Amino acid sequence: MKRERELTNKIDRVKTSDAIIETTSTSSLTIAKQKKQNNIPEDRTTNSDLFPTDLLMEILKKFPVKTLARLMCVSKLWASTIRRQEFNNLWSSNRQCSSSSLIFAFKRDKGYGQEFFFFSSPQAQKPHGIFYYGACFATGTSSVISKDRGVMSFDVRSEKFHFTSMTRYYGKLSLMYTWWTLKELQDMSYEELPLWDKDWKRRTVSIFPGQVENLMFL
Amino acid sequence: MSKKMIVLKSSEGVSFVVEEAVARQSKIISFLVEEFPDRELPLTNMTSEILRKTIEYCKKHVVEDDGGGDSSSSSSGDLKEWDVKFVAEIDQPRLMDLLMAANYLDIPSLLDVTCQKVADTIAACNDEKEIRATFNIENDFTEEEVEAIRMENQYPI
Repeated sequence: MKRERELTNKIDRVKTSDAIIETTSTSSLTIAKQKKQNNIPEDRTTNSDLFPTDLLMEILKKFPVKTLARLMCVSKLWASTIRRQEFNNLWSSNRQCSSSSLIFAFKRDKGYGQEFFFFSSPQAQKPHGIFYYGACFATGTSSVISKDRGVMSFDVRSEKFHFTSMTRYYGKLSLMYTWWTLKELQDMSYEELPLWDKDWKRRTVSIFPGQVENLMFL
Repeated sequence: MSKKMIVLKSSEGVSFVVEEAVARQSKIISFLVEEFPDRELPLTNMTSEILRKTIEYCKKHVVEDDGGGDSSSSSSGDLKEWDVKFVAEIDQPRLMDLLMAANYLDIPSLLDVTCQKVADTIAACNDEKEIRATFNIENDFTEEEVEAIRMENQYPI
């Protein structure tokens, strides 16, 4: 009897000490919070369908972005977790600086055959959501969409280029246009917004007139 | 020099005597040991089975860490291999419990390997239905909502 009381006493003390931890460091804050949640599944009868959000983030941060896009369909909790700014930060820090580069490229084809140039520059944190940047490019000057036109996207998180033909793409292409960060580009007084109009006609951008006619950037 | 031992108690009341250095890999236990020396530490939300697994992991890792200065790449490679085997032997529900335990006790390396294993399990699923089935997650989306998410994240292939 007495022993039992002693034990309960100890448990209480340990709990108290947890409370101390709670106030001493921010990283422990999460732990303390977690504990409350951890207590919930104790009496569960089935395998947990309750990942605490913190743990879910720990797991999800290991995935490349393409998988994450798919995993958003699992449940509302997963979708909202992946959309959280906190998760975005965690994800990015896990990938280190590789995800924070703005990649852009241009092609020149006058007198040089066709050449592509790729550049990268640091990029501000994206406010939310969509996981890749697209880039337009066209190999011709005709305004008609043809086979040799396409969309190239650079997935900043998996660091891979993807290419698709224009006709199959209906995504939010215009997103990327706000990410011009090069000085030369910022100084330009035109073409800040969509290169492609509603009918997918390409507007011409010429930053180095006479030399480079087609620009592609991300 | 005799090593200092501490006693951890599982939810069933089973006591585990472990070397302090082993237990100290948990930041929580490390803290508690300093605050309450010479006491049993009750871990009321951990079953004996999970506690035993956790201790097994900590023991392995404390030995390797003691190797100290010449932590050659081969030994850390061996340890990695051991980790993989360690989590591979655990079934799904227990893995989740172990993950929770690692989180609760604040053992970052154990949390990392268990999370990785769960991530691998998720990656091995063919679609979200299989993921839901594996982790017993309720689908709280309507078809339209799923479709909306798909559209939102449509990926050029």
